[in-house]
Amino acid sequence: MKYYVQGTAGLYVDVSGSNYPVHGADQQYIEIPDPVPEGELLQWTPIIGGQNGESGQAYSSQRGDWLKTSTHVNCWAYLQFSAVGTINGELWLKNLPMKSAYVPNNFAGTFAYWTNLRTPNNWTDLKFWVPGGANYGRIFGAQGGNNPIPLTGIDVNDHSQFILYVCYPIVPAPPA
Amino acid sequence: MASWPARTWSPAELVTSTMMNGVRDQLNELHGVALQIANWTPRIQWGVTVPSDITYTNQFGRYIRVGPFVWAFGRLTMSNKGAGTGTLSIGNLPLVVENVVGASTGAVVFSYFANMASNVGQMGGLVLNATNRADIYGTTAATTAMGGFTNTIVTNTTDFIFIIEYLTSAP
Repeated sequence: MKYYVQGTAGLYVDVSGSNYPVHGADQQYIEIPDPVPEGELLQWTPIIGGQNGESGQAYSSQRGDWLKTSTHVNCWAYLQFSAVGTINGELWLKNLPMKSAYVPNNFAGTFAYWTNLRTPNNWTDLKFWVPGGANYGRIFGAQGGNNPIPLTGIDVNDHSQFILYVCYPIVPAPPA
Repeated sequence: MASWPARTWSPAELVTSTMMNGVRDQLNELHGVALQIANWTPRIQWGVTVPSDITYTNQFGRYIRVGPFVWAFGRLTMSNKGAGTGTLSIGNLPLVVENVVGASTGAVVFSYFANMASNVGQMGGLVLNATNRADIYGTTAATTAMGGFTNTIVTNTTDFIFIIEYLTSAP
């Protein structure tokens, strides 16, 4: 959606934590995506990939559902690889439907189910968190009583499967 | 969807996104999103079997529904787990789970568990399509796969606090 504005250089619009600068030589219009409907079933395409990229992946299941409220999004996903391809760096949940709020917080996500991970690493507990201002989650695992460490591409294989849920804010907290 | 007349926005309106909030509010009205909040009574099941010999000191739940989305909160504290055997499940979900072939449309999240029969690293679970039930999975050692929990993982005093998020097809 395009809006004509009375503006000057440097003006921007802040919508749900995302900044939309004024465009054009005359600084007279901005473009803002259509508002996301609230309370409706929406789809997203989850990706389990790498911090530094991925290639050659295929999925036998790749479904994501999400719902937006005025301040938060709630995201579910169900993924199973048929080909894991090449994953570079830390294992990330990617392509979340909206960026999280621009605050210096991490927002916790939960795996309800995971299976067919790859040895030699074994895990007692997998979690992920969404950094502030991001639309991805960093996947960490615990091995017994040790501190969690990030998973990487070597920890998944052609049949790894995940079911997950995360709820995170999309607007900054109001000033105190 | 309705359209709104063109107008010139002031910089003050734009930088505070007041108009976008107004659009949002109007969308809410247009979509008429249904919000439902009510109680439900969770229970332990052994798969499809509904036991009659389990007793509880805490057995309550509350759920929120927004359109097809359901968040079912609950607590179950057993005082006697009975003699039943089989898959550990949480039953009597307040609204039937949507039937999506080839996918699970929900997640079971445990915020607390205690008095288990073994050391447990993580608990989670899956909702079952076209049922009112979720099966519980977890880990008892470092592994590459969560496993299905059964009656052997609980004791007479096991305590769970959880949220089950899922999609429903209920009208």
